[in-house]
Amino acid sequence: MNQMWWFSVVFLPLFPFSAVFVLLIKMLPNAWLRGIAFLLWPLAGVWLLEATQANLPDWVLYWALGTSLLYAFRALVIRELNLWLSYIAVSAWSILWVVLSGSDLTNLMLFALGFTLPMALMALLGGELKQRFTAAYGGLYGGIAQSHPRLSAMLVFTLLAVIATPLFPGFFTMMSSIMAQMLNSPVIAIGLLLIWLLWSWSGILLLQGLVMGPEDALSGLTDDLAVWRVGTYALLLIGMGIFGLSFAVVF
Amino acid sequence: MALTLGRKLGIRSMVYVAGKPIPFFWPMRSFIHHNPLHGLENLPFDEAVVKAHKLFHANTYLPRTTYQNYWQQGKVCQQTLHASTAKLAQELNNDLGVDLEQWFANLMLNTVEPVTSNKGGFSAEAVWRVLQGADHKSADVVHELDLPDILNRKLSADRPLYESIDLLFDTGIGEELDELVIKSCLDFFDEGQSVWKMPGRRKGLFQAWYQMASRNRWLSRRARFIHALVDDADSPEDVIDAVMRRFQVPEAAWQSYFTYELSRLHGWVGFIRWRENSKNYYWRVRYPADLVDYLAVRLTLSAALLQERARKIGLLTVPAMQDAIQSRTIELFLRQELYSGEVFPPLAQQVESSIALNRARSMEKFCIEYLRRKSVYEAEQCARRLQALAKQSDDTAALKTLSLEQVTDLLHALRSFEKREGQLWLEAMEQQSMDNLLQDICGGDDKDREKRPFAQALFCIDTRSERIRRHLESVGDYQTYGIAGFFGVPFSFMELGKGSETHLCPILLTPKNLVLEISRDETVMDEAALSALEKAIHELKESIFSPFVTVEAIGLLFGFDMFGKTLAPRTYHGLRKHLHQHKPITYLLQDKLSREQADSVVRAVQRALIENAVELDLGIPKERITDDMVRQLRECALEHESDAPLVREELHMKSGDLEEFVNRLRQTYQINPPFARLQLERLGRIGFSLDEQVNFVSTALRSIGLTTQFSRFVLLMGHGSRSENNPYESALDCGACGGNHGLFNARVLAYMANKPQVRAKLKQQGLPIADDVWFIPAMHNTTTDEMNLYDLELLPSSHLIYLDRLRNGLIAASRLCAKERLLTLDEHTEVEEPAAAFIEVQRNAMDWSQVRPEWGLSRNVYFIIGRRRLTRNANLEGRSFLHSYDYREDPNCRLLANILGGPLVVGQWINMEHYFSTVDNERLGSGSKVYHNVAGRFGVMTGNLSDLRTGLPAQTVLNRGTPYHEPLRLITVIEGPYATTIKAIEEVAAVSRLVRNHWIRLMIIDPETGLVHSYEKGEWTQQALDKDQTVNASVEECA
Repeated sequence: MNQMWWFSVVFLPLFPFSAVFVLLIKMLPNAWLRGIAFLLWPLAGVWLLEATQANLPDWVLYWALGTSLLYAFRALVIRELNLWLSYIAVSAWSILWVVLSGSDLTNLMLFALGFTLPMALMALLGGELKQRFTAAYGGLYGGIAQSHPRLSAMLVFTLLAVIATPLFPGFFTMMSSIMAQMLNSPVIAIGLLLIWLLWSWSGILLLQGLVMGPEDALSGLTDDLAVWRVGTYALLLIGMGIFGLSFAVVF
Repeated sequence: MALTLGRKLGIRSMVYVAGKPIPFFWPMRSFIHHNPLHGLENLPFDEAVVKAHKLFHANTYLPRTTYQNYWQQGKVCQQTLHASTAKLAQELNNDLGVDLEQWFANLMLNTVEPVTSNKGGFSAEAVWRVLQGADHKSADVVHELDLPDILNRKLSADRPLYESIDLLFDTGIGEELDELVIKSCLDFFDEGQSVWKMPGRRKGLFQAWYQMASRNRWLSRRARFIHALVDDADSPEDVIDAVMRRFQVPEAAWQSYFTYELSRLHGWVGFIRWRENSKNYYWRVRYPADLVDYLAVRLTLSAALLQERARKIGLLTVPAMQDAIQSRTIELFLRQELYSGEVFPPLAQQVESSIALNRARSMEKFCIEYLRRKSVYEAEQCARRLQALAKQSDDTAALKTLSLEQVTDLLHALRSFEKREGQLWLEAMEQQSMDNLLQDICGGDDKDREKRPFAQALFCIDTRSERIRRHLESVGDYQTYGIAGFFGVPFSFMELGKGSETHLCPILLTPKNLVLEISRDETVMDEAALSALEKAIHELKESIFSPFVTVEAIGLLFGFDMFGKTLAPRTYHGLRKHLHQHKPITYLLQDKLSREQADSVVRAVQRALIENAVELDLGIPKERITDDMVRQLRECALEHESDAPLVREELHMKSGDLEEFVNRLRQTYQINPPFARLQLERLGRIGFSLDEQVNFVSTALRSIGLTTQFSRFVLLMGHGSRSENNPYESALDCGACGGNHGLFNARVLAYMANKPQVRAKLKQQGLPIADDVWFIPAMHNTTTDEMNLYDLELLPSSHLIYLDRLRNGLIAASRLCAKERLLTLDEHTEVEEPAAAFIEVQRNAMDWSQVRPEWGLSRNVYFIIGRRRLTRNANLEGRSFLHSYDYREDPNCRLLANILGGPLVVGQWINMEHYFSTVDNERLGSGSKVYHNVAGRFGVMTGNLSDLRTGLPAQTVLNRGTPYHEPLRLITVIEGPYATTIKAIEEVAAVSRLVRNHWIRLMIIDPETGLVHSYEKGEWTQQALDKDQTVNASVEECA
């Protein structure tokens, strides 16, 4: 039973098993299913780890860090939103292995949720983009900030949540992991900082392709997000912010 | 090996021709409105805009939705639009089975998207299948696309090689190359903005750049490559030749390759072209540069970047690229789809993955699937749009029954129509504007006045004068005239305290005469304390090190300035004005010197120099230097005498010493015969002879028809603008004065016209001006609408009593004009009183955060050459250039030809600049002012590094993102007999070409027949000016 933790490397994906999740996201036909996958996949991994109560060897930590760095780096050149999100997800969930070394399993579930909630929301917004522009791919149809201001605003804030900027739960997860590793293993702490930087960098590149820049000639055909949907998304984001602040209080 | 002279000249001429389509860019100090497509004016307008679209990647008409808005506002002539669509439908209809005219009408008026928009994916057959409801997804809809042909067109040999590489591999070479070239240009062309200057600029652009590049860290990594390229060359032509041979571009394609290369940064290239042509431009003389230099720098850098970035790609020559198109067709096709932005969005990621995998067989398989899906998708979209259009036209059933051939023809017809649609909208809008104007125009002849008007005022033809003229006429017994703002007197001007000449005339003219401004005060102008302080602070700001220490020390001073300018601009400006020294009263040196006077001036200068030389070089005190000694030395220096015995004796000089001193006088102090001749020549430029003065006054007055009934006051109203923090300030000044204020031209003409000798000669020529008529120079500030009178100290005392009345009239007109104009600047303004509006516009002029102090010439559309009575009853809303002209004074049309060749051409440039800045503000205008930064003191860039922004900023032509200026070609109206007017037009080749190529819309109002002749599509049509009069319209073939 103790060796069952190996199954977790698929759900808290480590390279090369991470390819399974990336492939799954590519294959899922709609945004809702992708959202659910983003939500449940790491939770399954955490649940498996809880079930096995395994003592992890030290090298797993470096394997996880390597995976996270690899995917964060690859995300830099990805222009398709869902693929980018899946890479960032793999990169973020790999970090949960690092978190695990300094935290207990109960908290791990919360940390996992902190990462996945914005990603699930982003997957839904990816669906909104695809519905309007036939693809959620940066640099194809010009900046949408002027033609679709509400959708753009939601994209920007959700992306900030995904790349773990302050107030959102991912930020506190990263902070606590870095602080925890700072004394024990500065190399890992620096690695985590680097990964964080790469997330931000790739996120901004993606936003530049999607939101910024001159608008397309036909962007006058605006079909921006309905106000009630913006309200719903905004409430979810605010909820995540509160969830993140509770992290700050608890940890 | 160095090229032969013939070869070098060949390359030079190729570069010259390649740069021709790129318009000049004048420095911002004297902003010149120009047609961005001036280089294409040899083509008809509709062809030129197609070419410009290709060359500058710019839109040349407004979007359909904007025209639809104009339609709803009644600004489009329905009749013309319907006639055009009907004519086109008739031309294109080939038994299509639908009501094509109705389709076109619905397409224009009720459809937003382009119906035939095609990113190269679908065939007519695919669309037909969708319309038939056939199982198109299983059908073989992948039509036979000739992929190599598509690639060859997109990656043609005359396109810069790096652009092709960028398009295929997303290498970003073009972008980096532009940045490096801009940095080099900023360094070289700087006109005093940089603290550290580029070394070696006197050697020219290419040599200076190479000298610096060889020490540049970035370039040092590629130094071997660049050295190998440049060291073998002894001129920029050699470098161009070497790079083009290295790229193996076929020589037949060189010229168009150069044009593509030059058009990438057309602002900088336009500036270099202008500079190259301005022989006397100070910076050009000092630091020469031309397009050949520029191209050599660009090509060298592009070769270095390609070597660095694309070496592994291996497509470093044109033949290699063409081979790859044949051998790696699928891969290159997918690459260009992905990186050109034409990729089918749902498959973008898969295209990227397929390219990354780079497996030939799977790529080919994927490419077929990609083309199929793209084709089907685009066909479905097209069919959807066709069905919507059919529904609007009640042709839904008919559309379903169309055969494949009919669908093909229908798509062809719609595509042709959409290509020409912009031109149809434009023509229909112009027709509406022409109809509106004709409704307001009054025919008939002037009635003789019983008494002369209280005052007459000559304004510039500028559109902004129309408003103030209308208001001035409404407040009293004023008669106004329109004349080009330089008042027909071209001259070069040297302002008091400035060391360089400014040409105060349209840029089409090169002035012969020079006018100097001289202070009437005897005291030399001292710098006021505040001016000196400002200068010191400015120098501190410019220094690299001083900011570190001065921020704490004097930072607060800037704070005061900032708060003052922001919170209370008017009060603060008033306070500051008191602290500045006022310009002294000046007079203008404008009478020509006689030969004797000029000789005397030269002699006096030489004598003063000799006295100084004796004192400084020989240490002899002034009291020992006699006039005879100076005369002898001067004669010796000028080689009139060989010895100066008095000097030798009095100063105890040996012959050798004397000879040495005389040589020094010749060389160091320039007292020698050639320089004396040069001085005489220069002095000969100063002022105007009496005959010239008579001629200028006579021509100016006759050209506007002011030959009788002169008022007591004749105001010569120059114009200019004043605004804060506005690099475009000179764009608001007088175009006829070369982008400067028009006051000095007014002063010069007033001086001439008031001169008794001039009046006497005018009387002899049959143009008597009564003794009590006084010409007063004045200035109209177009930002504030203030009108101020100048040179009043010269006013005869008999006129003083009337001055108050005159001033009151001017103030009333200013206030009324300000009120009218304020509404256009802020439609929500609550200011109702003219006086309050007057204060508000003054605030605008002093507010440093105001991006739109005035609308300038925006919304210009008409150019009317005729008597004022034509438009006296019309409110032209500041949209018309008004040039007074009385055909009765000009039987041989000589004056008309002058007006056509000068003011009309300038008006057309202004109009076209506004047109293109509106239809594509990003590419042909200069974008938002908010992001502008001054570059090198002669231009502006967006952000810290960009092409020089040409054209007008968004704030000048757009209002909240939508056009404020209605982009129409200049509608020109000439009042005169048809036959003689046509003759005058034919005589002015530039205008004749503009008319024939439809760059302007021309109407001739024949006052003798009451007919209006309009030129349309190569034909003259005529109609009655008075609608009640019935005239059978006839068409005459264009001569």
